Amino acid sequence: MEFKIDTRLPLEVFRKVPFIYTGPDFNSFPGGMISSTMNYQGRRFRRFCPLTVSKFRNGLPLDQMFCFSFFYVTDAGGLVLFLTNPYHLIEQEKHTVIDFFLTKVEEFARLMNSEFIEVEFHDEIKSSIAFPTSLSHFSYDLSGMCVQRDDLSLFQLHGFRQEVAIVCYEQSTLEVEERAEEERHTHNHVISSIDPSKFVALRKVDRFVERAYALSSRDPAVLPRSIPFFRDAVSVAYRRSRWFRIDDLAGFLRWSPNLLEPLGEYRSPVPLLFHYVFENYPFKCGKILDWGLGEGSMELFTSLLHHASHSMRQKGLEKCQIAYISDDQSSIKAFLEQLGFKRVHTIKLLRKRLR
Amino acid sequence: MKELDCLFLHPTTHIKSPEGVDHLTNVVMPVGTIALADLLDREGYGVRIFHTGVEQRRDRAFSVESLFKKYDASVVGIDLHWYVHAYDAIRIANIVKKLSNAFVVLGGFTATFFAEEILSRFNSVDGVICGDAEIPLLELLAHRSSGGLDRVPNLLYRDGESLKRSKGKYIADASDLDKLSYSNLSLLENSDEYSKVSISQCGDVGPFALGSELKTQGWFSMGRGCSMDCPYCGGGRNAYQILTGRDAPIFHSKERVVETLTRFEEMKISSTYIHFDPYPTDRRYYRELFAMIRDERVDIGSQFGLWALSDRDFLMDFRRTFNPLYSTISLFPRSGSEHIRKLNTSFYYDNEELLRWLSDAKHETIPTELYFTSGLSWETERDFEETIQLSKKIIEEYPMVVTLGCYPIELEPCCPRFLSPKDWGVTLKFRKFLDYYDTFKGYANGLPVSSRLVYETDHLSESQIIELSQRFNKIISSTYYDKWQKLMLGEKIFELRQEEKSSVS
Repeated sequence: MEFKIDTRLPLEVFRKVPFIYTGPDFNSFPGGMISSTMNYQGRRFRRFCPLTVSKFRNGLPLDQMFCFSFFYVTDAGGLVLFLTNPYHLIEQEKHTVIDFFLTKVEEFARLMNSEFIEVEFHDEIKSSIAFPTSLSHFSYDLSGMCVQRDDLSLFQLHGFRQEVAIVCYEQSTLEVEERAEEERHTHNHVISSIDPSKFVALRKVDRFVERAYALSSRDPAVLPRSIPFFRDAVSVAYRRSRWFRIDDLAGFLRWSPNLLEPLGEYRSPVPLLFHYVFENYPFKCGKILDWGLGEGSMELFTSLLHHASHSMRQKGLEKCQIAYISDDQSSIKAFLEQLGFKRVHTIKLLRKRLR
Repeated sequence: MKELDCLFLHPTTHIKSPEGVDHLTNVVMPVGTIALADLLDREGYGVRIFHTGVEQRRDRAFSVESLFKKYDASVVGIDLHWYVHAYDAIRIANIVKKLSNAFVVLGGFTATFFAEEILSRFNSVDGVICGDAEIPLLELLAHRSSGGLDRVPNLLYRDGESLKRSKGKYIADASDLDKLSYSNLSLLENSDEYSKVSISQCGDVGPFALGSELKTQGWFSMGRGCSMDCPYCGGGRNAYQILTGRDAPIFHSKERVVETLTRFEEMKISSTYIHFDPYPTDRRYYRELFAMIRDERVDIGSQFGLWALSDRDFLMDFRRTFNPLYSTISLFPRSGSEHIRKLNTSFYYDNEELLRWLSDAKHETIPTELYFTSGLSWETERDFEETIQLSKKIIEEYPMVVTLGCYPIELEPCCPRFLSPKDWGVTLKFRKFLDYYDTFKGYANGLPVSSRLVYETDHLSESQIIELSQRFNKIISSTYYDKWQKLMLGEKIFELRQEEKSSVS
């Protein structure tokens, strides 16, 4: 039987493994469309490509695998075709399906003059992972997903190499607040919540020593995600010695309640359309999804974590996760472990150079 | 050369932009085309359907001429249901006549309404099936070679120098509808491409747009006819009576609809377009149908067009029935002015009722599409201002409204405004088929056209009607943009529910 690759997102994917989309043109998603294009080297083309592999039995398609993909431009200016974790709708013939998929995807990426293909794999899922669960705008509810190490190996056989591992840690908000309270020394910094409207300018500051991992800081479509801002969800630290000017900014954290929790209520991949549901929803988990730290990172980090976890606790959140820590940020990891954080989620980012 | 008994060709409207780029629009086929082809196929006839727009979308060099190097068809059927295909349908008929000996037959509402004029003016058309076409097409295939065209019901055809109308009359009844199947897409060339065609936000289709399609769409008809006579609609009760002889709506059996949806699900079609709501005060049919869809566990989304407001229970049922990924409800309030809405629609609701319905849809978390129009009868610029103000309010208060569009209302042949323009405060700029043909010929060749809307009203000129819609869309898209920017840039913030302990402290 022959396989076929098609650009569509089957209903079955959402039924089996619900997801959230926070990228451009989210309003059009319920109508079955994302009208987002990109320009690269004088060419204009579709940014997003939902890819489904199917085969035909008795003239009817049988969907085998789905992968959400999109193009972005790296900081160095190269075009990347990014693939989210492939999801198998049928477990049989996985090997053959991946072989077929990668052959087609590589042809497509070369046709579009991509420099790289990247794929993210969820390599470790040890808890209920809060939103966002992906480096992209497309986050699966990972409670419906298994780690697929076989697939990862198959990608490696096709020439993909690990570029980076991105980890997420978890701790109870009570523990974070208590332990951070013991450790924190606030005499060098002033920590406060800020008006989120000032956050956009603040996160552009590029002199942080440690920073949340992001695919690109150059391509505006990769970040930021369309996520509503919640009160007291942005904590910032200023050096105490001066006025609170942007020059004195020492670090920041932004968190969001886990938007996957009320997904059963609004039953849509587009949370922003139903943001009114959130205000009365008893969220259990908050996730730090954007952060940057200047010099004196650990002391600063303690104070920011204390501030954020206090804010989460006040809103009834019991668990705190912190995302987008690169595996090579060893001092951050060691420090979180010291505060009792446990590693609960790892994304492996694999890359293949095409030219 | 493959011999076919019937080759169906769907014309697609071409519009040449000022830059000389050829765009395709109005790509959706009349849903009956698939059902007609399937009926012939089941009767043992060799049939294929080619959608010229889909073929061009796949291969810009595609030509209708190339089909006649591969196929030798006895009958070629070209749909001319919507007037926007006036030029392209005739253009294709000319090609067919030049390259083959096929009997060229047109069908659909526009062809029916203008049948005599079309046959008088265009020699490339041999006949027009007026009204329902199922039995007439079967009879045409059976009797065409023996010259017995008079035995084909609903047929107007050329007989020597004159036109002749056949004696028989055929009006499909509910049992006839149940013999039709809308899911035999194997008869349509490149049907997988066609299933990606959807009605876009402007009620139109831009196949060369660069959006990423996520869903696949299944098209079928829930029934035929209407109980209302909205002044702008060419498919109302009176129009149906004139064009088909049908005086009351008929529905497909619910069992047949569930069967079709099940088949769509097997074909991995993710959403179905339902736009048939002829009894807005009595939606028992849909409530029962939805229950059957749930009982059969059919997993499909729906783009559902409501012709008037529903109650909350209907919305709850809709939400429970369809997969939410690609399910939306569309509503057509037409005007923000209650007075104008009352004068121009058959089922009136006031703004308070509209906002209450939106609150219900918001509560049921249903993505909603709303469509307004300019150019309604007796509408003034001041009335239109109410449309803008109401829409602004809706944007602010109903975030689940995913589309809010406004378009100049079209003048469909055989609608009340076309038939009795004075009664509706309208002046027609033309009323012949040739005028429609010339207009779309102009569009296809990038030439100026004498009239875009075909009409003006007692209060608004044609250019004013167009400008009002343009103004609406400019203002509303900017309001929309500002609203989402506020959310995404943190100018609007959300309060989470506070723990009781902390709120006490």
